[in-house]
Amino acid sequence: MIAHSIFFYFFSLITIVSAIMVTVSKNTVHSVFFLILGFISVSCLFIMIGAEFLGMVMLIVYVGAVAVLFLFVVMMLNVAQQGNEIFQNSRYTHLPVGLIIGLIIFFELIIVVSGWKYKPDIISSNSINFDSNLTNTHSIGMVLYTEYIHLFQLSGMILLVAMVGAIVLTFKKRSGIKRQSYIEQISREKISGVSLVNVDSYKGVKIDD
Amino acid sequence: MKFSRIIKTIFLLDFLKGMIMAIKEIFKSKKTINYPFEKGKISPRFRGEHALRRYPNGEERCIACKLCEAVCPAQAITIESTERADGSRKTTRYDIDMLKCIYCGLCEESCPVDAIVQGPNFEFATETREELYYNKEKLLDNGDRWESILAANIKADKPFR
Amino acid sequence: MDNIYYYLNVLFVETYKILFLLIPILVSVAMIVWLDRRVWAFVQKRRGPNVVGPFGLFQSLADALKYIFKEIIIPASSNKVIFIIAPIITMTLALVAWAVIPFGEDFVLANINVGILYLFAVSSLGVYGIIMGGWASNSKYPFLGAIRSAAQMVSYEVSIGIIIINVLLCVGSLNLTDIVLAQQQFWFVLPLFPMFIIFFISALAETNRPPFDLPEAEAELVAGYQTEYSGMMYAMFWLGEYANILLMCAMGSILFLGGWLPPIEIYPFNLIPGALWLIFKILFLFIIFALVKAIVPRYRYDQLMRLGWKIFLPFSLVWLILTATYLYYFNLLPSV
Repeated sequence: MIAHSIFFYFFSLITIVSAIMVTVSKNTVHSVFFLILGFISVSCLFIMIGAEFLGMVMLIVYVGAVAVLFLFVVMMLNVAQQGNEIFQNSRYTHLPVGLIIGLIIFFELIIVVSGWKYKPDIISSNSINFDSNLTNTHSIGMVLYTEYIHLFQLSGMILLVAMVGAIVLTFKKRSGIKRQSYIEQISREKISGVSLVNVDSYKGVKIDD
Repeated sequence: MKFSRIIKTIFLLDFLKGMIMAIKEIFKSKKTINYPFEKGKISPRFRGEHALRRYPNGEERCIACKLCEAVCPAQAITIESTERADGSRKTTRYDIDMLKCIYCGLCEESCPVDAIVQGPNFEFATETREELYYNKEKLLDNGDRWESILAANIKADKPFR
Repeated sequence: MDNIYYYLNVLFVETYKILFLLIPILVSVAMIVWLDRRVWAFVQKRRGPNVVGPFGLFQSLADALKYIFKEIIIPASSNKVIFIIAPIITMTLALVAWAVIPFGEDFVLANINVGILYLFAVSSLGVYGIIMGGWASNSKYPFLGAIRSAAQMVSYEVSIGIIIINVLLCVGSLNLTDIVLAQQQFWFVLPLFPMFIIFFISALAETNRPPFDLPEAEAELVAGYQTEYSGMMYAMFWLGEYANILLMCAMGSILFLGGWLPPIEIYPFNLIPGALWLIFKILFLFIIFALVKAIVPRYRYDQLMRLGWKIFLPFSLVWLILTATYLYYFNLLPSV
């Protein structure tokens, strides 16, 4: 048990420190790297409580895909310099809004944790009987694809609509640019590209183009 | 697009053809030589490392006429000479800066007595620059070492000069 | 006190096991570089490295020695910490993934429930080494190479993920040992042959091998994200890259070629131990990797993206639906 708690405190310390560093560090790219570190240690915590499926999905989805896109945006827009200016010029203008949001989250956490602590049946009131013989991948699947199948499908549809919407909003048909047809390019045959001509001397060949 | 092209694209036929060809090529004989152990054939006119030759009786050929020094486009050659007791003019110093040399072969062409020649050796890389400032001893030593090949090369190239 | 002895014991045994796995992998990575260069040379009718050791086998060791003794140059304007971390991350991730590869039924370092997800997660983390290296170099070519590489790896991961789902549908477990054991009757390469091909091509793209080696396209980007690296740090990128290639080959052989299982369960094939079968399969896939390098020209970047998103992704999705339908209709879905 000692080793377990050592690892727990190790990972949670990393999580908290990197979460603080995300907001504190001045270089935006560093912030994203700290965010990734935070994600990784959170997924380690997930694995420690036996939710290995959640931990791995966290790694794949958040670290492997979402954070890469974050990095892309941050690197491409060169937010590093802009961010610095905002940071220096108006250090305290964003303070009230940030404080309010922080307080709201804090109270929500208090409500959830105290509810959990003083009324334990809150969690088990609508949950499905949990079979400890199954792997947690299996049990998530059992819940997700039976009880919550409609919500699951709905969230999938929302993501699809969001994707289509993003494409529609950004897609512009521009004129005056040269488009390439891959199929034409790869399906070129020798016959259409090369022709052998007997050239008479001092006459040459007329190339029609 | 033609039907055959669609089939080719879907079943990666072109790729498979390439793969089979690659596997066939593996078993064919190699086109390259096993360099440090085998070397390619070198023409008698090959312009490699310099050498100062001697007459069969051991006397240096060089008469310090300084034609090579004058003709050298890179001004890599430095010669100093003196008169010996027997009245012949010989070099006291014959330096070639191999780092300046452009291996044009003009020194060899200008030499009236076939003393300075460019031999077939091209493997004289060194670890320091200083080792590439050749002096007379080094050049004569080269000449002694490569004499048989140098003589044969000069003989082979004679009709074309 | 007993407790501490217990932990120490566990620590020593696990360390021993890890070393027992890691050292052969590092050695085989070096050998595989030699094999790669040799196959490439043979296809082009050259000789390849053949001087150091028998058949030039120790060439990679000589190269590694050279890299170790070379000076590490850190550009003045680079972001030093990230610049140094990047190759370490690449190599560590490439080696860490080997923990779950089963070489036999009980011959695996960590037999975890979500083995294939772990592999997928670690290989998707691999992109960070490259992005960090490219960004921290603070130079144009490495940055462009890193951006290209990141976009490429993220796109092809999607199709690899769907291909993995295809296999998982037939197995009903995320455990790699279960995946291999499910192939006792026939290897998955037979029913899922198109998926195997797409997996192979995606693996080429995922490991930045030709024809998808755009991140280090030397004609345009010098050496991509590795441009500013030298000495041991470059060697670590190099080791990580080849360890990743080997890992992809291992993944391919476990998902489609039946892992440690012999082709047929009859007398002469039974005698060879399972680990050797897996190694044969990995080598077979790697030789195809090397042959592909020798015969294909490099893709253009837009063609690469088109291939990933417009061809592989829809095709593997459609195949996924077909597999699911087939399994459901003939009642072949695995009982978990």
